[in-house]
Amino acid sequence: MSATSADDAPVRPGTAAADWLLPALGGAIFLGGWETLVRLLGVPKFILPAPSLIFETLVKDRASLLEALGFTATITLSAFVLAMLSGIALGVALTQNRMVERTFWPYAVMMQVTPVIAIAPIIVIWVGLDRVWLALLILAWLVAFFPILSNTAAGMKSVDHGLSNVFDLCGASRWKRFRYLQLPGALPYILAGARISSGLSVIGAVVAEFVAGSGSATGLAWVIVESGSLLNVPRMFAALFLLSAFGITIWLVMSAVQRALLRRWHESELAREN
Amino acid sequence: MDMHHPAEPLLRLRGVDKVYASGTVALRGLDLDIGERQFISLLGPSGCGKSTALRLIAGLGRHSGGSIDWPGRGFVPGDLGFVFQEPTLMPWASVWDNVFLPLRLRDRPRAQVAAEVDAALDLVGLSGFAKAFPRELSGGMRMRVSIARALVMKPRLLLMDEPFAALDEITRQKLCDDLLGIWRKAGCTVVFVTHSVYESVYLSARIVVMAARPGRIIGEMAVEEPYPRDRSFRLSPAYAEYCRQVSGLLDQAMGG
Ligand SMILES: Nc1ncnc2c1ncn2[C@@H]1O[C@H](COP(=O)(O)OP(=O)(O)O)[C@@H](O)[C@H]1O
Ligand SMILES: [Mg+2]
Repeated sequence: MSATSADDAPVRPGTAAADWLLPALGGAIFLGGWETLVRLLGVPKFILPAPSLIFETLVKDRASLLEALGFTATITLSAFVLAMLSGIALGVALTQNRMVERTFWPYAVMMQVTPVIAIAPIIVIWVGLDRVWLALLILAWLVAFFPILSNTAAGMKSVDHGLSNVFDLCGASRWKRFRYLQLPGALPYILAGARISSGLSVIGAVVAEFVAGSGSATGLAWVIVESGSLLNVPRMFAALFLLSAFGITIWLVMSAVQRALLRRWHESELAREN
Repeated sequence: MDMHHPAEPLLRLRGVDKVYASGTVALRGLDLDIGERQFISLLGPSGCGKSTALRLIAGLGRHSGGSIDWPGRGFVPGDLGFVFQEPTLMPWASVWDNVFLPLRLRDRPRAQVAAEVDAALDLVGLSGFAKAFPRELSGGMRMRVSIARALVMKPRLLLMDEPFAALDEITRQKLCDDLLGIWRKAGCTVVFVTHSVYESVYLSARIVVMAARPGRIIGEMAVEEPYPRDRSFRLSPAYAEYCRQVSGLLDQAMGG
């Protein structure tokens, strides 16, 4: 069973090189075309700045931009860590008991489907405008929390029935069953949830700042809003660039963690070895 | 040693019934004595309650009537090893850790039992694969790991539920040969569930034939060929004759 899916995986020629080289080449062509078009057509910089100008702005404004990045990164990473801890803990707790699960699951879903933007103003009022960072943290956490919760719960319930019998035969305690069977079995699910969450926590932090943002918020989202109102479009693009670079970094780190932990045993990582 | 004292079997089933919640009568009035160090096969068409019987013996379910006893010195945790049709290995753990599992679940420290784990791996011929992961092994090797895991506690009774059914014929014959060697070295009793006439004749000293609806024993046969058995037994006229007789019993079981 496990062998077939590995054998069936399409063989990608020169995987490692292709993974890096092709996107890099595509990006270079895209940026080159952009630069050329802007210069040839003389597009004004408050409509679409050339990549070179964006880069210039990045260098020129690096102090304030990096500070904003630091703020957004702190909110995002804190929210992500909180979401991991609370999501795993609650996912495990929910699945310990059917009644608990039935009682709380609908509310967890309700939390998930409520657009975070809709509750942002309330959260801001509750924590106070002098602590907008806390509102941002809560909002980003709310967005990032659910995928981890639901994936942890799904993973905890995905236990192989035959293996479960083996644990029964050995008279395994509840704790040992959790430690040696459910938790490792749930790991691929949790990591998949974490990867989704890591992206969502960036989005959560940015969206929250858009909504809640005031003078006291100093993240990248606020830089974009502020620069927009001043028609400083190159700075907007510079902030945007930093945001996506940050998002990509998180995503790459999460993928690397996932690969490192599952490399030797899980289907999702098998194709890489062939 | 108790082989010569049929009055004191390792395990005694008397009038064992099993009715599932769905109303299915899986077993009706099962009487069976299983002697120390015997190799017994439970043979029967699918649905006749073979797995149910094994699970009841293992305590993985409650019987609805009758009794299951360990007359000798009683049942001690660790007396029982179970090999399922699937290897049921932990994909995230190495071969060594998979075999270590029953000991770990009983709080035996890793360092203290390392020799026992190594010995179990050696018994199934997988000493060189301790660090491998299950998905790096063939189906037959995974089954060997599963057998090592079942034997690591040195059980007195090894229950095997169609362990080789999912394997190809060549691997299956090899594993049958090896299983006989393992059994003799381990010195335990084996109850081997199968729906293969050939497997049951080759392996066991005693074949118990079951029929379905309701699950019951309809006959029994001794295979008097001495151990150790090897490929020459498979090619002998005696083997063919045993197979013919057992097939006759099985036809009866299917006929109802
Ligand atoms: N958990 C269960 N719940 C209800 N019926 C079951 C269950 N397990 C087995 N049965 C039924 O009991 C009968 C015997 O099953 P089983 O012991 O698996 O037979 P075998 O292993 O000989 O194929 C079958 O009719 C089967 O459908
Ligand atoms: Mg069965």
